[in-house]
Amino acid sequence: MNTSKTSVVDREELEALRSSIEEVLASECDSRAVHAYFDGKSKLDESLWSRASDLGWMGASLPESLGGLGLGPMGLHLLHWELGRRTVPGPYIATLSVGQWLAEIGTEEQKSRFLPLIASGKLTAALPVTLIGSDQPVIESKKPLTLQGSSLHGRIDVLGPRDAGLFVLPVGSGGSIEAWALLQPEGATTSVQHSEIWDRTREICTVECTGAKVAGLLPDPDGSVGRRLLRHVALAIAADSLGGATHISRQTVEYLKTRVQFERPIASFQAIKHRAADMVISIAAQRYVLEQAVESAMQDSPDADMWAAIAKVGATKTFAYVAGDCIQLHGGMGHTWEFDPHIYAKRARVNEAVASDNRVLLDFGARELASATRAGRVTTELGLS
Amino acid sequence: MDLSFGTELDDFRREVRSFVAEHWKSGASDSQSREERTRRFRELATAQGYLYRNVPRRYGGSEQPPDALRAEVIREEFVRARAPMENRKGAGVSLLVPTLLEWGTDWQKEKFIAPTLSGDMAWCQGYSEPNAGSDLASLRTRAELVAGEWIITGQKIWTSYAFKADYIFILVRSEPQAPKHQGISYLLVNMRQPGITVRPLKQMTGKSDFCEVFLDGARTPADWIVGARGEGWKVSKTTLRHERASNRGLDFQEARFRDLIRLAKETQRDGRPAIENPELRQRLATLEGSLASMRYSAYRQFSMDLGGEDAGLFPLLRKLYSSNIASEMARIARDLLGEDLLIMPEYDDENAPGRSKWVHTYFTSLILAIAGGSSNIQRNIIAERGLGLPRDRTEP
Repeated sequence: MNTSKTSVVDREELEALRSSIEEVLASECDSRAVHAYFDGKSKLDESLWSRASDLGWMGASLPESLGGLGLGPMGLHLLHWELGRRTVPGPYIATLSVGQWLAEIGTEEQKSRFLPLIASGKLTAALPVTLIGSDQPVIESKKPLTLQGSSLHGRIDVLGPRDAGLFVLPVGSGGSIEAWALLQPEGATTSVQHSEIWDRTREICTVECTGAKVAGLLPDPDGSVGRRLLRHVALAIAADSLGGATHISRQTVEYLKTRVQFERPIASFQAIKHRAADMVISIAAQRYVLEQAVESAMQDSPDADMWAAIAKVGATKTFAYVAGDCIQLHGGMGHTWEFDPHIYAKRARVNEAVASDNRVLLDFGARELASATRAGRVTTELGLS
Repeated sequence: MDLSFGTELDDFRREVRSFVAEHWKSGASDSQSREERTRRFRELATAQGYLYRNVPRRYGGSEQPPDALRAEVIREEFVRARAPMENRKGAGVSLLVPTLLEWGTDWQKEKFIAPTLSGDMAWCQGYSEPNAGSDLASLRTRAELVAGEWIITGQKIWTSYAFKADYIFILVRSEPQAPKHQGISYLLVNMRQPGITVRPLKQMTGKSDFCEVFLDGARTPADWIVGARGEGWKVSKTTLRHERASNRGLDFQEARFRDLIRLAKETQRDGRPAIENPELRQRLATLEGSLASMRYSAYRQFSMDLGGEDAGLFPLLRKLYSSNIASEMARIARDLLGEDLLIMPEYDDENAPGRSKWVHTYFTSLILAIAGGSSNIQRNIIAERGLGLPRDRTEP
């Protein structure tokens, strides 16, 4: 199996990348910029995407031979953390996850066709909102599409922009996934319907195929191909969630120090202090789980899928809780459109819902842990760095 | 605890039920708008002694002897028939009228109560300010008595209904030299004047249910003050007591719970109705227990009020308990809605059919923990007033 990790990932290089991303976003995607975008007054998503492409962020994880920086899942982790911190609008999660996924298990032809385009920001991608289902029959918009020859038929909800250049769609019969189709939509055989969602920084669409011709197919007899895609999306969401949670909680703590009621900063009340501490504790705990998951993915260890699923569940729960608490800690103002907390809360909701429902992911994680244990494997072995 | 109302109330219940059937259910006619029909029904119901029972007849009420059991029977029968009860638009009937009854002068009661009951005078409440939320007593809106008029300058926030209201009852600082809680007065002000500007506040749902009210040299006559100068804090406590203790919230939550059960039956989870899921059933059962506990505690408080006994801690607990129940219901709804929660609903109206109303309910439930006094403040009240725990020292 071909992974994109380099044999030694340079810590200084990672920190340099992270800090440059942080700087650019702090100046070009601050709170005011995001609110203006949220209010439909700017095309911040386009201007940032083009900036990100120029700076080479899209290729952070991809092999150098294909135009990337070769930093693997660790590179993506840093990027998604910073993007989440600033609630950056744009199709980063889907595009970058598809990129890394193809880099790991795509054919040479698929890699050379799609990866340079992704690395240079010229291609955006979309993938299903639900990547693994439970064993029970699934509802219509989550069923795999059917393939007749090389023609796709069916309807499914995706995370990604309505004008995505590459759709990754599950294919199968009778509700179970047998392969993954790569679709470059054109003409009347693919229609993409955008849904109006609370989180205006991301897009969810419904794709309908009526005899659309696929550009490629990845067979998935044992489900491992789909799980690998889930792995990368889960890691992206987890990083995005913790980056966002860290930022909004810090901002809220600063607010608590300045807000005065009863002749004292409300931060001096013990109940408030405890709430602030509880947020920090929750984020810190999930950070370690996510670090384990990223490390596991860097090593492409057999437990990487399990760790990614667990990290996603924990990080999204934490983000939803922290964002909700930050709304309350801002008092009445926290409920207003003009303040930041609701943007984070809405992003947290999307994070929870995509890459599959958290209950299903926990079931999946539990099954993986059980089989690892039965096989006598220890799941917390960290890679050598 | 005997929960039946007793046979002597059975006759009364029958009487109420047939009144409602005669005048509301079958009373519809094409020539009347719903508004007219509602107004007419309220007049008849008041004349019959069913509505505005605590308000003297001369002020437009039905002046009935206090009888919590009869009041409860009336409420049950009206709710069952979906007949209109007291006018709840704005803050007038629920908050201002009880305050005027307790603190108002005779001419104030004459002038303001009847039109408020009928809806001819619509009121909003001007209490909170940007710098006076939980610490309401630190409010800064200034009022000065000049040539027989109060001149008012300041800003109020979170004022519901301000766009539609004709009048506002407002807390102002009229005695700047007095200590914090003794410097406040309770004034009545006409909203329709150049010195008052209303600006909507946009919530995270995109809707504007609240407003900011800017007063810039707004005027009101000197005698449009309720209570004496500097007594406003005491006067306002009547209002707050009424804001927190109503049973309407409980009726509403029980109706919502029934809706939630329906949502659980309609939603599929793992190929079966979600209501068959064991984990969800436990949460619903716990919630039902909480609601039942609130209902029976409310009855118990009822009985104790009737008997002139002190109802103990329960009245202080209600608001907090109630907002916790609302949060849990919203969380369950959120889990059931799944991805639907991400979608902005087509309907703008919380009473719209289907799953879309739950989305609004979810976001609104976040407000309940704050509106009318945050949960932190509620806990302080329970601890300090209910349990006698010492207050925080105020040194920072």
